[in-house]
Amino acid sequence: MCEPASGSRDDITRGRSDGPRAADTRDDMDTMQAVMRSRPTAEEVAGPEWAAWYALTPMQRWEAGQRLFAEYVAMGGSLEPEIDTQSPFWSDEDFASFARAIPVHRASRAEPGGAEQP
Amino acid sequence: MQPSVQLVLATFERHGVQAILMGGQACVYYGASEVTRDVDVAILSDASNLAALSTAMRELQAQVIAVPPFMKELLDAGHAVHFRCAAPAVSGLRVDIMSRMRGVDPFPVLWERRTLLANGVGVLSLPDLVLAKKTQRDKDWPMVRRLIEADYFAPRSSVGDAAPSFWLRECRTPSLLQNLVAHHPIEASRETRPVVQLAVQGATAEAISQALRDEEDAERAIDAAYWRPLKKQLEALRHSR
Repeated sequence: MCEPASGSRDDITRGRSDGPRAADTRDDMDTMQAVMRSRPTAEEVAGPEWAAWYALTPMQRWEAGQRLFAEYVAMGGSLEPEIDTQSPFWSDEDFASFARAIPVHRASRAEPGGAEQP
Repeated sequence: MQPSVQLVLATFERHGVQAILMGGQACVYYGASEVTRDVDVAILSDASNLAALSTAMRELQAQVIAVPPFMKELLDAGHAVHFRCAAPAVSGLRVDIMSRMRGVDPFPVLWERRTLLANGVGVLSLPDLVLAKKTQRDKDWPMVRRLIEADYFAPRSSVGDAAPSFWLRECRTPSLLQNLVAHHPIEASRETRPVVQLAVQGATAEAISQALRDEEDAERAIDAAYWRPLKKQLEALRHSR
């Protein structure tokens, strides 16, 4: 943390600062300290599992995503579209044609924090 | 990289297809998702690029599934064309192609801004991906929130020095928004987004959450209106098959 531009921190806290400028600096510093204290962590905002995912580099996530996909396919996971009635592309008729005879069973997969399937 | 996705992208590259990865795969890269089961790609819709794409799709033994058919005018209108690959290493993999998305710039601009990975794959830039994800679907909005969170907590933002303004413009997490306003008061004062102005005025997290929901509702309504004529066109195409 930076020290104020004029006067020592003790001077300021004892009221022996050299005028309003130092008082402003003290206020600014207090405000900044309060802001820094309030800065949320990734864990607080998103939970530990998403925080761990956020902590990876984009390339690490990319590679991990591809590994997960490979595992999903190896377990017999479906490559068919999920039912998504909100999609503008969605139609029951098309779903039937999307989901033509590929004998797969759906693999369940745990999502961090119980979030929705991507 | 998992072989089948790699093969699709490598095939596109080998045939000189101008394509940018978007959708779920891009969300994985930027931290908003863990895995996705298809490949969504934005492409340049000009004659030579579509010819290159056709060649690449033939090599992948990809067939168009459902509607619409693979036609330039339908891509230009904003439709997505859905393919399913049948070549051995990509069997069953779906590849969805679009050339125009609501709320984002035309392809040449997206191409200039793309993130180029070391393996040669071009990924939609984070700001463009955020805009593309503002749809009428419930599942896209948590993605938008996480895209910003992941960038905010990263050691280095994907958007560099423009990060504070980008976060203020797109953040959907009330506590982060409050923090951003406190950390970046000058950028916050310049931001015209109503929810940012609420945060500047010291609104509660509940009030900010409500403003974010209102913002989302408005955007979803715009997206639904955008798709209404396209959905009619899709219906007509289905019935004409």
